[in-house]
Amino acid sequence: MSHIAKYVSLSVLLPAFGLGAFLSAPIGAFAATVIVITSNTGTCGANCWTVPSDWNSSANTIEVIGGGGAGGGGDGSPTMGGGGGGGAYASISNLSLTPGTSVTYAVGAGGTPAAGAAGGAGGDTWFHAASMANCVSIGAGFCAAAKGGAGGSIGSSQPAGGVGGQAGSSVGTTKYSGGTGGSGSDLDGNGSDGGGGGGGAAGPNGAGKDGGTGQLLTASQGGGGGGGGANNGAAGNPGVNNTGGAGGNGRGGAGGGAGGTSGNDGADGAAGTGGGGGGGGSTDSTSGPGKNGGNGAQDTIWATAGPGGGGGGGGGPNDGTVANGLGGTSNGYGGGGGGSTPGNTSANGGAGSQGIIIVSYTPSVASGPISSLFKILGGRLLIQGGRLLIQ
Amino acid sequence: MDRWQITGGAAAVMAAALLVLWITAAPRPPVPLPTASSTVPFAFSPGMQTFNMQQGIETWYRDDRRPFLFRLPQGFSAKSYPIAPAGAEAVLVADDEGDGLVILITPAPGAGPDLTVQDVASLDPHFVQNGAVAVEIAPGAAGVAFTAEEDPLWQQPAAELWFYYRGDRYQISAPAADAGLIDFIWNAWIWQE
Repeated sequence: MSHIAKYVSLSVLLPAFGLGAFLSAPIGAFAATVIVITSNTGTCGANCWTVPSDWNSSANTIEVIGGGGAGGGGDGSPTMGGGGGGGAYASISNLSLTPGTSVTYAVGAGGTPAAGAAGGAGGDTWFHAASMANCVSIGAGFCAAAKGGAGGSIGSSQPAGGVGGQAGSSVGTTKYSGGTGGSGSDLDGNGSDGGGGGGGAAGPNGAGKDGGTGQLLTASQGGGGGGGGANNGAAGNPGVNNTGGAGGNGRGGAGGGAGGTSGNDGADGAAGTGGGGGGGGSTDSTSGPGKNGGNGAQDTIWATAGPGGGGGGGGGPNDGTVANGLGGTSNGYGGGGGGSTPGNTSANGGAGSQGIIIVSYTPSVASGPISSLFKILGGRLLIQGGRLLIQ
Repeated sequence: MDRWQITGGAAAVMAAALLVLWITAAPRPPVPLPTASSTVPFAFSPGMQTFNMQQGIETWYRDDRRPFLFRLPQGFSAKSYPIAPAGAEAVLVADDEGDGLVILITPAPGAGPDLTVQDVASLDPHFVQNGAVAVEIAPGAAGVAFTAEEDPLWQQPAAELWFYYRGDRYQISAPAADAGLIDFIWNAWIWQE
């Protein structure tokens, strides 16, 4: 009896088939390789990814999410910030690629916030194309692309949130739009009402949901809007008087962060749920700052990654005399940032979160001796006719 | 009085004999290992090969039959091969040179939640286990990590991590020189609910 046979026997395998016995099921049907790409520094240089040697053109999926837009950063004019839009989602299946060749791709950056300025737009994400426009041109048979969310604007009264990345501008056989950021609010013109919540990122389960608006009453200060849920979650809630709006729940029906009560920050969305962050509450004193929006949560559906809920909008300070109610960001991918409520100074909105690419495939069936692929010194594992053979 | 004394002495002897008999005949409870660790003990061996990961591009093996996935080091790939008996599989993790580890997964209904040194000895009386350490597999379940003086599969010393999870027995085995690979994938091992 060979060593390998002894080992197999001790592994309760030998009684079933013995030396050199055939194994009955086809190879490779029970597992997948999942590649999570979050950087533009690829395996073969900038924006370059090498197709693996076991690539299977008949069993693969490419999924992309665009970057989230940043929330608007209000200034001391006073102006308020709307929330940033969430990134879109797109996917294609069975992309034909040749092992060993290279693929050009780009992961969209998250929108950059700035104090006293509109939030930056999230970048577009694409795979197997030279650019977003190129992918739109060649179509879903050859590439996948997802539009990034727009940044939140700034302004008095009700500055608009950024529009979520649109499915119609993306490329894929399955596409969903990101959530639109909630508008800020400053109906009484004193710069102390709430910023808008960021929109949630779209995902394979559906669209990202919209962020909530800052409070729309003419109270002297107000809470920020809650962030929108990701991946077919729920919309964020508007701020109400001094209290921030709750973040929208994730698709499981829970996880939205609680809105901040007066004098408290909004809570983060619950990890793993895709819920949006809660809006910040306004100050509870006559001179205190507004409170910050909470961060959106990630819906962890790909190993340790997934689409993100939007960040909550910042809450307003008392009578616009002091800073700051910062917008929240997202702990997942593609979530929009919340808008800020600065009072008499300027403050950043929340940053948008970057996009992501997921490449999943069932490794192709190997053939021939496996000894060249795997060293088993005590015996030989062979693959013959699509079956595993132990000798 | 003497009779009582003799009877009492006999009783003492009989009690002692019964105690010895009970000790030797009673089923021995498993010898508990120290508190289960959340890590395997293979990360600290001097001269061991180290494994890298590329920032920003993660490659994961996801098992579609059983609820787990783990991250692969840079340059490694993994494939699953169905094996007998029905429901069993062998996952081979290897680099371009063919170096790597094997994960044998076999149905073991009703077994667990813990897998102990005694279980290893029962399953494989030939293994000489050194440095056995209990490893926390999941809340309420522990496996055992050890080095084998010679694993027949590799014909050389090997690192092993064995455990039960939800009715299956997992045996992760790598040559001792690649023991850090077990540490790497175990640190990036996720049970999916």
